Amino acid sequence: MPEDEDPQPRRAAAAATAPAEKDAAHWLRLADEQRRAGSHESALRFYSRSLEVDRTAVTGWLGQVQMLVQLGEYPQADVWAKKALEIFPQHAEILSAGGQAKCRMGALPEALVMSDGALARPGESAYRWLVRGEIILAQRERGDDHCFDKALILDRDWLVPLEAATACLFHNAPAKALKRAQEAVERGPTSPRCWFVQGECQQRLGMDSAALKSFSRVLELSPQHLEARGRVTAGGGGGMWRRLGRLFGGR
Amino acid sequence: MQCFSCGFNAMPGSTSCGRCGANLSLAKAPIPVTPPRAGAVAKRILPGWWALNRRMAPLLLRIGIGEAALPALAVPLEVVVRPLIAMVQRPVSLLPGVPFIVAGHRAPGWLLLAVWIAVMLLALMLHGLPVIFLLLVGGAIALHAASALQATGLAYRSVGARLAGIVTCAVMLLGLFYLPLGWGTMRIVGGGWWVVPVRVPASFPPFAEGDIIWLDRSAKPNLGDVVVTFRPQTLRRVRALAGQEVAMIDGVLLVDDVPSPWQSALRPLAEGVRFTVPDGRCFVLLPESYPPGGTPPAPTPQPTGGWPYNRQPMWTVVVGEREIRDAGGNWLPSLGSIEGRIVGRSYPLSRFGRIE
Repeated sequence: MPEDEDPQPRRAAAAATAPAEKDAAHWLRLADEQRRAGSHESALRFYSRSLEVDRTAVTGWLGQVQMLVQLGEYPQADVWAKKALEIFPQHAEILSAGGQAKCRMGALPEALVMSDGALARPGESAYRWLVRGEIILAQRERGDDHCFDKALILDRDWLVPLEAATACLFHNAPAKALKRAQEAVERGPTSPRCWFVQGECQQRLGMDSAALKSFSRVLELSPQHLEARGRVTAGGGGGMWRRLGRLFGGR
Repeated sequence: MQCFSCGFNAMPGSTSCGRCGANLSLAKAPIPVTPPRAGAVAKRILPGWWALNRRMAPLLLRIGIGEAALPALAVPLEVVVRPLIAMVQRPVSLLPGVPFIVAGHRAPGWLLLAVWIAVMLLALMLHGLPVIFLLLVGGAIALHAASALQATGLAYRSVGARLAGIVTCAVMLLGLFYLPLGWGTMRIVGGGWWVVPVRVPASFPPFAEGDIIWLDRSAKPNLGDVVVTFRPQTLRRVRALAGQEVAMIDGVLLVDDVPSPWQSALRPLAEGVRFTVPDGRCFVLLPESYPPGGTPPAPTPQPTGGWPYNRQPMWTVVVGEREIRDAGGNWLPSLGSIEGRIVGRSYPLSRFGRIE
């Protein structure tokens, strides 16, 4: 630092900006970044940090439940959704998140009831339709495409088709998942995660060369992506064991 | 005051929102904001169960029994599998009271644990009294079940879920706690290095019928020890070991020509008997004893002996060479037939204490 520069104004400026940076919105922004990068564990932590600052922020509660679902901790997500519903009774998104947790545990009627409750609330949101689509998909009935399309119309964010794709992958519908992943890639071509999910869908469908290209694109966008590097090293097909597994109906 | 959930302008001082019902006091309440997390074992095991559940659900819905069957599928998941895994993951939660302590109710948790330990100890001490023993063990299991239900069943409101929770608790307590505990105890006891309670089957002064004595199966018999022999199951006091010479001269029991510190007034050796204890055996008489030169204990009610001793109390009959020769197991048992050494007595409480 030059000697003639007075440090006082700089410190004051830092002091003024520091608290503003650490407010709930700051943590929510960080959580969203991590979520988009696919780091659900970190995102969950940041959502918790945001609630430590402001526990009335429904986004924080909702994000926690969604991250727990993404992390595969469904009973915990269910418990946490119930807790959030105590604070925000009948909140549509939290109801949907609880329904998603129930759906992933296989309790489809309960999930459907929660989704009905969410859709009956005033207002519209992509997440409600995403969950509805997932439940219909889990029931092996028709109509999930309609719900996912509706979600995509309501929100132009690439995260919406990407989450639809991961839901389809989860319920063992890779063809549907690929369609959604391609939409996600169209909306967010610079997001390595979109390409990775697309590659995963292609891999599940046996499109190994296309999957290899997708994973290579992930590495172009994010050279540190370890999982993509592993898939590329394995030749896009996921290695001998994965191929053998696919012969017997595995993923 | 504005509702943080719906933005409705609630009346100042109201605790809940008039429109959406949100609890307005929670905004400032110290509620935890960190969600519960799944353990590593749960993450490995539960996905398989859920996958099965998801595959079954559409099938059941299609054949028309879904609405009734799916909650039944969810019950085992919620009430059986998860607590089971939670308990396997944290075995300490199997202990009574610990779920209360973990939940933050420290005082009742510690109290429950202390009472359970006390009841179990009392049951162990009084296990020779079947009715009291069963009552105490039943009480301990009830306390334990109450504690386990805290961890498993209380969160579930439906009757079916609660019943399932109770059954789960019972199965878990039996399967994960009492059976392993009993099996382990039996194995340890079978290994022969543990002190176990034994009920005295008949009167052997100074032990009365029904007394509960503590048997150390690991101990090798020494001079003066009160031991229990297998066949016949009796109580005896060791007077001499292998290789020692035993003699009865002028009413004094001599071991290697020295007066034994444990003289016998009940069923003593016959005058003039002299023999050497064979290898692998020891010489025993009834447990009662008094020091040489001391006063024999006051006579107690004694059973009457059979032929040829039916004219006098059995315990006053001396042990002659013939008894030693004919029923050597009674007086010269092999070391292998000795079950263990008595170290104490827990019942009756008036005579509670160590046995020297």
